[in-house]
Amino acid sequence: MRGTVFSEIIRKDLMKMECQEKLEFLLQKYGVSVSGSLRPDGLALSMDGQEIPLLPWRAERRFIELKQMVDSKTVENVSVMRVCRIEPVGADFRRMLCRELDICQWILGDEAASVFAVQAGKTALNAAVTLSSGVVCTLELAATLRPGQAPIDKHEIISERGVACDRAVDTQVPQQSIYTFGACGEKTYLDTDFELFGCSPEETAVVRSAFGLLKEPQSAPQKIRENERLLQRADLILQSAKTGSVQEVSLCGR
Amino acid sequence: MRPLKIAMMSMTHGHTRKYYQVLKENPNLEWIAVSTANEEVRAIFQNSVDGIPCYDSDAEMLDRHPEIEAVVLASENSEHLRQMELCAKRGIHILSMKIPTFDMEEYDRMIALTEEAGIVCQVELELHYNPVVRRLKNLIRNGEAGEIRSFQATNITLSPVWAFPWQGVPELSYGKRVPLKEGDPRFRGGALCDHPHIFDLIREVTGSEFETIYAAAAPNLRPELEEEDMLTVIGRMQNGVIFSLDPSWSRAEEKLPVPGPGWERFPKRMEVNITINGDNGVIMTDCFGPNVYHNGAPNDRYTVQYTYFDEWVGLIDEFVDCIRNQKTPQINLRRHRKTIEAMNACYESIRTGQPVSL
Repeated sequence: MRGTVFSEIIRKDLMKMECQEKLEFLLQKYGVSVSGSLRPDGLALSMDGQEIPLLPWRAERRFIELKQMVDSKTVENVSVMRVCRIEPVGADFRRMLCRELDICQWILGDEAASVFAVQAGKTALNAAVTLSSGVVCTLELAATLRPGQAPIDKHEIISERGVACDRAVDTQVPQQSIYTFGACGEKTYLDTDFELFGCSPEETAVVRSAFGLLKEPQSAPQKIRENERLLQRADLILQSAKTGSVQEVSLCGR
Repeated sequence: MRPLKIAMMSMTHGHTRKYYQVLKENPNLEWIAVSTANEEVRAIFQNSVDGIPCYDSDAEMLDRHPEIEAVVLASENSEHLRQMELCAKRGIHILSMKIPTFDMEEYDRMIALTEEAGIVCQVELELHYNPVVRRLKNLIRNGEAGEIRSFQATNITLSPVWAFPWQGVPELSYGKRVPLKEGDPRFRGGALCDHPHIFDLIREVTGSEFETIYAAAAPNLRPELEEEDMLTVIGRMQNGVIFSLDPSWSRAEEKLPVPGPGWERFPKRMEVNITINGDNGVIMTDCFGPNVYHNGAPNDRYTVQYTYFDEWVGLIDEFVDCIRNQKTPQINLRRHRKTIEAMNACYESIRTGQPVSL
């Protein structure tokens, strides 16, 4: 793909391009000379012979805005963050935990200090995570949707000054931008990125996250460290669910 | 059916005014009188309702009106035992607020005295008369989600303490002053004491009892309160169903002394949402939505205006039916005991920082 003329890329039907191609498109457009290959699951990028974790949700607009609200004290003195995510049957709980725990930790700028979790086989897991500041995060995870159904999630930050959430009041499921009711039944569309038109919000985040890393390859070691700490904490949550006991993050792990 | 002669006591509970319409309009009821806890409460009541005699003491009301057959105990949790004793001695049926008491010795005394007196004692858990909850129970019974694996629920509101101060006083809400945990300046009696519904519903929906409870109190949204206002509860039922319950006061309010328009700072002042994950799929439920919305008077603030059915209609219908036909209410003291035990277990878990087995 590298070496393809930029003008030839933009004449292609962008909607059919895979994430890797869309990444290449951005790299060429913005003159970024470093290259990398996305792992098929979108969670890592191979760069200079090394696999670097992406934490791609950090590039999703809604989480960027929620973090900005916390950082700028639009919502102030956070008490609780509540997240829920429901994915199709067979979804991996370690992966879901890493995603949702990192979303909490990254948005709040803090890390888990103790965790307690309960799990119902491969169907559901609930965790109470107390951060080092005393803020309590509740993670409600499930793998009960039919294959092919889009995940359902919600992220809510409750603070002394205000509530911030990626779901509108009085709604339960994600809203879409366009709804069509036609001969083929109901269809919905959610487009959030003009440059990467055709990518879902999560695919967009993967591409933008990889692009960000390739623009600043010196950030790779930090990404690796963050991912290792995240995995430690996610594994502690799974350990708690297995043993039925509260797990404290050891000082050496902080 | 001859109308049931009914009265209300104290008038200090947050649900007091919910009864006004049904007591006036239900043809199976004759509203005889009320007793009010103090002058301020009396004035508020008399501003709201005409033509109902108002007394300064419970005993005086019952003495003046021996025809009273049933009483709604619209009072502080700490008053319930005294009032139940008063009613039981006179054979008067009781509709108790949702927390009879957190003291389990007192609770067992309540069971004994109401059963010995042969009176109906129903506990006000109005969600059982909510049409969305009725639909949810039907869906579960019909196997819509299959075998239930997890139950997630919120029972969250604004804090009522500015309008009903007793709810901010540990001795009146919880029954005594017990620190949340060592080193924490807060005491038991806050949001958890106000929100038993989901602890009750999970028992019915899963057909099981609590096995393990873990609770964590988060930093208060209202630092001036001496009780908890934010907490999370997770755990497992005896049949393996896991749960996550949120009984917080997480919706901000204006500090109004009398509830009314403009009470909300967060648009939706009360929410009970339930998510069931099962082997066959997911059921997501909003027991109080959708609604209508405005951003007009008094504060030009985006506000949810509820459109839900009045659950007190069904609740009172059951109460009257149980009295007239000598039945036991669905939510009775014996059944409700395990719900209160579970709520006490939450406080114990917060105190120790460990899960509690029931």
